[in-house]
Amino acid sequence: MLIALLITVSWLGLHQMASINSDLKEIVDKRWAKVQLAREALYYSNLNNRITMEIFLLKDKADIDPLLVHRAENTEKISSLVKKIEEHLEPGKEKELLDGVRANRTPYIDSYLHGIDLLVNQKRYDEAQRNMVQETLPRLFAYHNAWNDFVSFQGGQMEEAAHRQMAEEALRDAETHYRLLVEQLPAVPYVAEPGAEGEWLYVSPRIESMLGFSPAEWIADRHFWFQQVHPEDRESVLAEEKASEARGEAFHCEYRMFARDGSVVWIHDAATFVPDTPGGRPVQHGVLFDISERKRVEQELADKAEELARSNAELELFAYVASHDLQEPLRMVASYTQLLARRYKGKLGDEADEFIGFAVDGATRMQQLIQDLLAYSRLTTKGKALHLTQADIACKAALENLHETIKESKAEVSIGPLPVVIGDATQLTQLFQNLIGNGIKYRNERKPEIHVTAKANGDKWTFSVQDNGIGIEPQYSERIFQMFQRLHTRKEYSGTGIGLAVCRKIVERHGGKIWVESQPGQGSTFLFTIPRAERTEK
Amino acid sequence: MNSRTIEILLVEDNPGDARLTLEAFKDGRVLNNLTVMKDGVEALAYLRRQGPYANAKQPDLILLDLNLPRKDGREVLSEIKADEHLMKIPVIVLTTSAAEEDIARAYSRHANCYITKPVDLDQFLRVAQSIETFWLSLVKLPTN
Repeated sequence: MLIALLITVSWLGLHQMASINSDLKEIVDKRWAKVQLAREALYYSNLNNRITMEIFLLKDKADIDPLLVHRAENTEKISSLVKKIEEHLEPGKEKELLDGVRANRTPYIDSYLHGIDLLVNQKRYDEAQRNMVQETLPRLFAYHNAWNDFVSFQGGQMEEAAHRQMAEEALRDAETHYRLLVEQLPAVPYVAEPGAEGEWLYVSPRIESMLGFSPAEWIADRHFWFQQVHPEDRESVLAEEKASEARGEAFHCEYRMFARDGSVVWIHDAATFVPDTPGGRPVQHGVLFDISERKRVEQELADKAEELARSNAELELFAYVASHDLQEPLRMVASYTQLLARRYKGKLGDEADEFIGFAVDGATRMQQLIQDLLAYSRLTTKGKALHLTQADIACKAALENLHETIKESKAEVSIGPLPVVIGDATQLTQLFQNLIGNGIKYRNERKPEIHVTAKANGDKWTFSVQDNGIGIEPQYSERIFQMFQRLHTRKEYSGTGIGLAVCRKIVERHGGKIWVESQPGQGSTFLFTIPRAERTEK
Repeated sequence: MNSRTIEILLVEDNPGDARLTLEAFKDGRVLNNLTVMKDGVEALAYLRRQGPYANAKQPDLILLDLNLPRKDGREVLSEIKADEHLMKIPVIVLTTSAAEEDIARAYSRHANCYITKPVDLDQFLRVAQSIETFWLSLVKLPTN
């Protein structure tokens, strides 16, 4: 009977314990899985120590991952948690229980059952029964409950805390992020009511470096902003504000503001109108940019453009003066000295003839210089708009103009295939005419041979006009392009020295460069570039 | 060949130029009478036979400088070409200006031709000769 009872009790105990154990294991596993998730989430989101530590503690108790325990800095918290577990356990048994838990939780129970078996076999039934019913089972239940509650409590709380913490952290992170963004922008974001007396709800601390005022003093006075706006700009700012509000568009306005030190700062104010805010009042979300530097550059450019326009106008006036007023008296000198020569040659003596000769020559040359200067200045003032131009037509026109010279000098001029460029046909003709004309003019005893070619070179065409003439010393290769610079006396080669200066100006106007490659006695090759025309096939 | 004396009105403020033109036409084969007016106001008074010019002959040809005192050549040209009694008289703009805008404006004001005075005397004489050959011999001018 006793045995039967014992067996029954044992079986009951065994059965119950097995069931408790399996329940316990399942619950713990479930909780642990949750904790594990929370731990990972927390670990990766790098949340604060409190939570992390609780996890570490649990891990320590369960002997799972002690690696991170060193991070548990809050020892007080650890001891209180240890207490929490221990108050559910009987004195002296904590270590045992925890050891059992450590041994994957089941061996502890197994060893207990083994003890019971021993007792039964040694026929210490009473003791075994008492031990079983009065001590082991309640203790196991207590442990079970404690562990269960603890894990449940901790897991739930941790999960909740983890979520709350994560949300808070994320919010804090986002807040920090946006605050840094707003405050470190090289501009001044603000929130303000529209209008001259609109209240400013927020202004970035950057206002201090921009205008020298603190955000506090800026916000304190609802007239502050408008008072700092330059009086000449106030009306237009308000008008623009109203207009953009009415149009329902973003507000963009450039105006001047006074900084604390009285200096003027150019502001670009860009804002969107928010008609219905949580506060219930319409506001503007805007940004103030300091555009003083841009304004300064703009002003500089405008000044330069104006200066350029003025100097162009002066040049044109000069051109007109040169073409008319200056030539008038000159023509008188030239005409009457010539008339003098015609009527009185041989009648006033040799000296008089010579003097008259010099006077006529001087007047004629001066006339030529003035005309060349005028032609040069007109290259820009009277240049036509650039458009698609066939270079070979321009070149052939130049040959037409040089017809007499070519015939006279028996020069041989060959023209290779020439492209279509964006240019001024008249000026290109003049360019070819000057270069080919030079090739013929600066010839030696050989029959002049001139080759005009062009080849594509990246985004530009390189034209070359090659002659077999006298050539140029390399040290003069720059000087020859300057106005009125000549390498020869007028006796050797006539001319005022404007031809190549005109060439350079034409090429530069077409966006290219001109240079010469030459050796004395070896002929010269004048090269110039012109940007390639976009191939637009129509 | 026209045997009557051709009347030429030269509107020119520079006496040196006037004299030169006079010299150039003096040697011409065509019998001509060159009258010089020194400014635009005077020239128009002459053409309209006003004041002291009540008995002036209407010229067959006008040589007109552009830059003149008081009323300048451009205005004179416009007034001549707007005046139905004068518009048929050929006007040769004879000026130092080679400015494109002057040339364009002269023709839009119905100048009959535009000649830039050459600086060289020989060339100038040739110009005078050409005017004579073309305008005074070759061309049929309207009779008054």
